[in-house]
Amino acid sequence: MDWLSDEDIMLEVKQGNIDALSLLFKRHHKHLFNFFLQTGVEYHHSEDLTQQVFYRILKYKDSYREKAGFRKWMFTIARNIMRRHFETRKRHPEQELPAILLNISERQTIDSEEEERIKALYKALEKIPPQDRELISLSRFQGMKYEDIAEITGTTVGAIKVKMHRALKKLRDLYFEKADH
Amino acid sequence: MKKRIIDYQKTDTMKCNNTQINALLTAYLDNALTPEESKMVEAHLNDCSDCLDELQEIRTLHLQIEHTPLIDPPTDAERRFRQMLEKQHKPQKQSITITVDFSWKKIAAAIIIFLAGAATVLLFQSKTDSDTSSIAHLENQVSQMRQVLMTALIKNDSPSDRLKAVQYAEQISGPSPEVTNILLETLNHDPSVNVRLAAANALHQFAVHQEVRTKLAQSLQQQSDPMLQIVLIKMLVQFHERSMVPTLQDFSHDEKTHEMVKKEAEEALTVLL
Ligand SMILES: [Zn+2]
Repeated sequence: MDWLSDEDIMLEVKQGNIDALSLLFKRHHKHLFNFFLQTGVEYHHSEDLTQQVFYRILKYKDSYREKAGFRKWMFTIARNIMRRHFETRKRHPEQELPAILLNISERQTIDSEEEERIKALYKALEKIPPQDRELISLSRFQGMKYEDIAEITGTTVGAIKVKMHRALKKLRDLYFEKADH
Repeated sequence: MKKRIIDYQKTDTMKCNNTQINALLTAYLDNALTPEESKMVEAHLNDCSDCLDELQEIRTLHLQIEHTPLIDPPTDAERRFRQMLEKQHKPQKQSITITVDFSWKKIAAAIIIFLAGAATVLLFQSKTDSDTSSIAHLENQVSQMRQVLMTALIKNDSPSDRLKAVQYAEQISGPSPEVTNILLETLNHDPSVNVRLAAANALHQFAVHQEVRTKLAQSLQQQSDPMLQIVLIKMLVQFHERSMVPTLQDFSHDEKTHEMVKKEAEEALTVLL
C-alpha cells in the first residue's frame, strides 16, 4: 500500500473504509508524537494527544476536502489540540521539555559526544518561545514545507520565511554557546 | 577542547546590517525563495562574509537536527489505535438525526393523503396522456403537486401543518429555488423551533449547493436555539463550509453560548483549515 498517497488513503477513509486509517496512523504517529514532545507536552500526554488527533480525523472524515494535503490537515488539528491541552491544564508550554528528550543514552547506545550535542540541541529548544519551537518542529523535524506551515499557523509564506529564520537564529545562538564548552 | 565531528568555529556577533537580506538566509538554504529573492541573496553573499559565515552556521545546525533521531512512541500505541478503530465499527447512525416531537398519526395521515393524491395524478396522466407519460414526467408532476401542497401548508397557522409542509419539501426531487427559499425563510423566521429544526433537516440534502451553504452559514449567525445551532454546525462542517468560521469563533468566545454549542464550535474550528 506504500504507493498510495496520504490523500488517496484519506479519501478511502472518507468513503467509509475506516480501517484504511491505520495506514495513515502507521505513517505519521511518530512524527505527531515528536511534535507534541518538542512543543513541551509530557510523554504520556503526547501519546494521548496523538490518539486524539486520529480520533478527530475519523470523527470529521466527512469534512476532509478532496486533494487537501493530509499532513497539513493533521498538523492543524494537532496544533489546536495541543493549545487546548495547555489551556485546560493551565500548564504553560514555556516550561521544560519532557525528560525523555534528554535521556538519550537510556534508550539507545550512542557516542557520548553525539549525546552531548543532542542534549545541547534540546536544551536550546527548551529556552526559545513556544511559537518558535512549533515552527522549528514542523519545519526541521517533521519536514513540512513553508507553504503548509503558513497555512497551519494562519500566516503568509513571506512572513514564515522571516519568522523561521529568526526562530532558528535564536536556537543557533543558544546551541552553539552550549556546544562550545 | 573536545574534538567535534561537525567542525565549527563560532564567529562573534554577526555584523551584517542588511537585515532584509539576512532574514532570507534560512529560506535560501531551504530553496523556498522566489527566483528574484534568490538572485538578491546570491549577489549579497558575494560581498558579505558575515552572511556567508552565518550560512555555514545554519547548515551545521540543520545537519545536527537531521542527525537527531525522533523518539519512539510507546510500543502499545498502534494497539491502542486499533482498539479505538474497532469501537467505531459498531453500527452508528450515519446521518444527522433530529428529534422533533410531532404526532406520528398526523404524519401518517399526511402520507396517506399524499399517496391518494399521487395515485389520482397517475391515473389522470395515464388516461389522457398515454403517449407522453414517461415515468420522469410523472415524477415531475408529483413533485409539482408536493410543491403546491407545501406552499399552501407553510402559510398555515398551525405548527403541525407547517411541519407537514416541510416534510413535503424534503421529498421534492430536483428542488426549485422557490422551495429552498421557502425552507430557508422557514428556518430563519418560523416561530416554532420544531418547524425550524425540520426545515434545517430538509435543507440538509440541498447543502451540496454552495449558495444554500452560504445561506445556512448566515442563518447560523442568527439562530439562538442551541439545538439548531448544533445541527447547523454539524451539517456545515460536513461540507467543510469555511464561511461559518467567524460565527464559530464568536460562539466559542461568547459566555452566553450554551456549553454544548461551544464544544461543537471549537471542535469544528479545529478541522476547518
Ligand atoms: Zn550580509
